[in-house]
Amino acid sequence: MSKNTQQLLEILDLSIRFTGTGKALAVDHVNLKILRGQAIGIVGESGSGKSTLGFAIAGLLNRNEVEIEGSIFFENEDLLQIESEKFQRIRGSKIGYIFQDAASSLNPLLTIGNQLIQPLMANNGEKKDAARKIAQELLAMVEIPEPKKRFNQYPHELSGGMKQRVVIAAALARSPMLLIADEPTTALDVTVQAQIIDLLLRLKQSLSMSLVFISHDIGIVSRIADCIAVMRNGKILEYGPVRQVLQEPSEEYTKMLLANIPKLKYTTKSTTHSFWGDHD
Amino acid sequence: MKLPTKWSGLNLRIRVSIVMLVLILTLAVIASILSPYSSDQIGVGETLLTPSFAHPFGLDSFGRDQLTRVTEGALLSFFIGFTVMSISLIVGIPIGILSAFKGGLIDNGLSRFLDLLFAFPSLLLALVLVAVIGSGFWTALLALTIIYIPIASRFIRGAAISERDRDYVSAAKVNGASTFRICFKHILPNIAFSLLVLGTNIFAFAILAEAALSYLGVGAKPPTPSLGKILTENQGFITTSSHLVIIPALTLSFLVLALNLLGDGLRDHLDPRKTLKDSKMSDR
Repeated sequence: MSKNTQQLLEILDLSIRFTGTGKALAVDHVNLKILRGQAIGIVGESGSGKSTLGFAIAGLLNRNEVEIEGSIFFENEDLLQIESEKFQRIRGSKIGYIFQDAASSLNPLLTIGNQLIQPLMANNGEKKDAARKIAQELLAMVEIPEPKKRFNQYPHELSGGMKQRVVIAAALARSPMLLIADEPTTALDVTVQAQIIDLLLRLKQSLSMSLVFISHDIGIVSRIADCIAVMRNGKILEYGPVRQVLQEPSEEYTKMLLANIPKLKYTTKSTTHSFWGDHD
Repeated sequence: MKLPTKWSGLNLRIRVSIVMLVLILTLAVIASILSPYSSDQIGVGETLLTPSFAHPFGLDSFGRDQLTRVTEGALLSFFIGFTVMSISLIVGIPIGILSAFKGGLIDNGLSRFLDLLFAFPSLLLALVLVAVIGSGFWTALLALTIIYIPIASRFIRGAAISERDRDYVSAAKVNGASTFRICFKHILPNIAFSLLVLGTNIFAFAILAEAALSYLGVGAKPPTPSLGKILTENQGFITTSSHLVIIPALTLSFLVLALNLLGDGLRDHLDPRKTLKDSKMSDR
């Protein structure tokens, strides 16, 4: 166990095996350190174990269905050893989680305001009026236009990007020290993706929290992360600062991922074509 | 998936069933208030009297006013249906949701116990229960409740399981919500609409099952005017005074039909996939 105060999260030799018929080893002896205020990107294809890793940190794995070995130290406490009530408190106050599908991570029957107010009242013991005020500030913080109007709307009345902003606001409600974003932009279109990434970057800096950004898109991860971990088949293949991983990848797999970032074919004026054909 | 507040937003089946239920309830209440006879008052006129103005449904073999008996029977059926529905939902909701949410040993234990109960035909189970605790109106009610609690729990467990794995439940979990809060503030409201349909179905089935028990002689004891009991008492006269059998039987069918229509209509109405079609086909 490290006494380093700079260190927020340390994953030691973590293995996770699903106990179903397949007995799949989802995470295979993973070691990872996250410093305070640092953004880590975890990249990998589907089935590489990156989401399972995120779930494990947030304690969302059903202990009846998985075998977990190793340890996850959060502020020098092993999350895998402490009792569930204490974990629930840590989760409620220090770890935030953003899911891939914003639409399904909001309760369809609660107004946007209530989605934010309820955890504030339950965890921080805020009074309703205070919680309402904080919730409105949060909506403003994630740059939702007309926060007062959105406050009383239901999730289905908002666009995908708006919903993801609400989910981010909900995750930030208790000013967490660690924010885990599990493919937060995958369900969004490209322009909204860029907005959400910028928003997360700004929030990370202004709130000085650590960020675990999970994505299959190494291009997006490189915009937000300080360090990148490349995962495949449950193992971390390569880990290092963004610049190093992007410019001098040591693994063939990383090179392959980089080569697969889509590039626009036509970029200069001379090669653009009119949709209707070229009539000069 | 909001409940519409407008009458015209409901589909035909719901509208018809509401009219039927209101009709039968109002008639029953008015008749039992205005009736000069009590349901167990014998010899108010000639026995087996055919329907007349003074006795619209005639008199039975003891000379009891049949209108009073049938309307009170209908109200009694309502009471039974409502009680069985309420108790089985009140007990079934915590069992079902907790077993879905906790999983593991609790869920397995409960499910296997429910499987055991399902292995017996429900009416047979009720007969056994009544045989053990003794027959009577209240024991029949108790037996029906015991039968419908596992059915409700199983249904609610299934509905809760499909909600349990949704992201907003995990999100609530990460946001530090307690198990109680997740179960009753997040999962329960989201399955409430299916519970409405379940409740209506239990209501109808409980009425039928009670009538069957009374008919078999293990439910309400004479002179309680349960519809099933009225049918047994009068079946001997079916050839000579058929109205004594037909009218209570029709009342029972009317009641159950209305409730089944309501359940059916609600199911279609609350099915989110049908929302689009419903606006076009609401009058079919």
